[in-house]
Amino acid sequence: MILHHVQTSALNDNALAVCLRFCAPQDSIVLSSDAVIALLDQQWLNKLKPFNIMALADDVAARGLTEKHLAASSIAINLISMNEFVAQSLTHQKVITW
Amino acid sequence: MKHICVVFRHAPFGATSSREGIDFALLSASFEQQLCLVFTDEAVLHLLADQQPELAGSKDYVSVFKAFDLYDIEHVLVCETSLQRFGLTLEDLAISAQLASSTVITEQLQQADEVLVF
Amino acid sequence: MMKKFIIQVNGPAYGSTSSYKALQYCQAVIAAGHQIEKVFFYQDGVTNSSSLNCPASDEVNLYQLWLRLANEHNVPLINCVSAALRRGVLSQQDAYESNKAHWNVDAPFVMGGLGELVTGIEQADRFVSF
Repeated sequence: MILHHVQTSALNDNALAVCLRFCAPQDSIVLSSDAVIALLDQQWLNKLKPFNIMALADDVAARGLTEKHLAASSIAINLISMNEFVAQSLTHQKVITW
Repeated sequence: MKHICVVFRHAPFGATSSREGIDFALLSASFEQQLCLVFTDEAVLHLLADQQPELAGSKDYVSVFKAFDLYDIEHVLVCETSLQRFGLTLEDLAISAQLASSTVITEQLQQADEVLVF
Repeated sequence: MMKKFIIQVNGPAYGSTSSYKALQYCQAVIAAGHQIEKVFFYQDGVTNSSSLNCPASDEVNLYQLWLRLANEHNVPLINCVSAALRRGVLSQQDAYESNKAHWNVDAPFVMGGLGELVTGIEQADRFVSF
């Protein structure tokens, strides 16, 4: 069980695409920094849907994104703090930063 | 000893991350870690024969790939999807590598103790 | 139970926010009662260690924040020396050896080889890079 960590926007970088190519069904993905923008894009949301998705709450809030914006995403997104990110790093077997 | 998987996902020479990833991989192997290298997306282009990195202002860090055996790096996986996307086959590559489906690479990532992406 | 983390920082001090994320992550690890075995600066991450970084006074000063983390919690801050030299990040010793008049890396930042990263990964319970 892997925690995949993506930091860059899927519109600029292949990190999220490559991560999704090799993500196993039981894995989780945490989106941080510009990677949270994928939550606004239906194409990426469809690809994220099968997985347990988390996003750093501070990065979402920093970009002016609110519950309202994310409500349209139609997938369950856990907004987590940095403390929870650390806890998740330990409940998963390893963290891969893409 | 740990089982370390190093994934390359960037094109050659446009950025220095692959070169620094190779440095890390070779050093890990010399520290007797168990290494597996994965080339995916544009990074598969690192394995093409007849590259001339100097023309792009880069040090030739791709010739060393031929010496992976000397470093006991036996597992070099090339993402099949990526090769196909660029119209390439194993015959186009300068080194002998294993053609790997996404499923095989996913399993490698699960099995490794740590995975570093460059 | 206390766990040992090794953190790799690849992003620059200025130019992306990934190094700031790495710092916050380190703080959260320590707050949770775990240990940072070392922070290893690689690729553009080595620019975090330059004492010549001069951010505006109302901006995040990552150099100072790393210093505080190291001093308050005894966290080793290790630069990859070859990544650093290529980017103009030098200790006094490096400056001497490369015949340069100036240097920009002082304690608690220290220069080390990539081997420090490998042995760190071997010893840590978790490896996380930014």
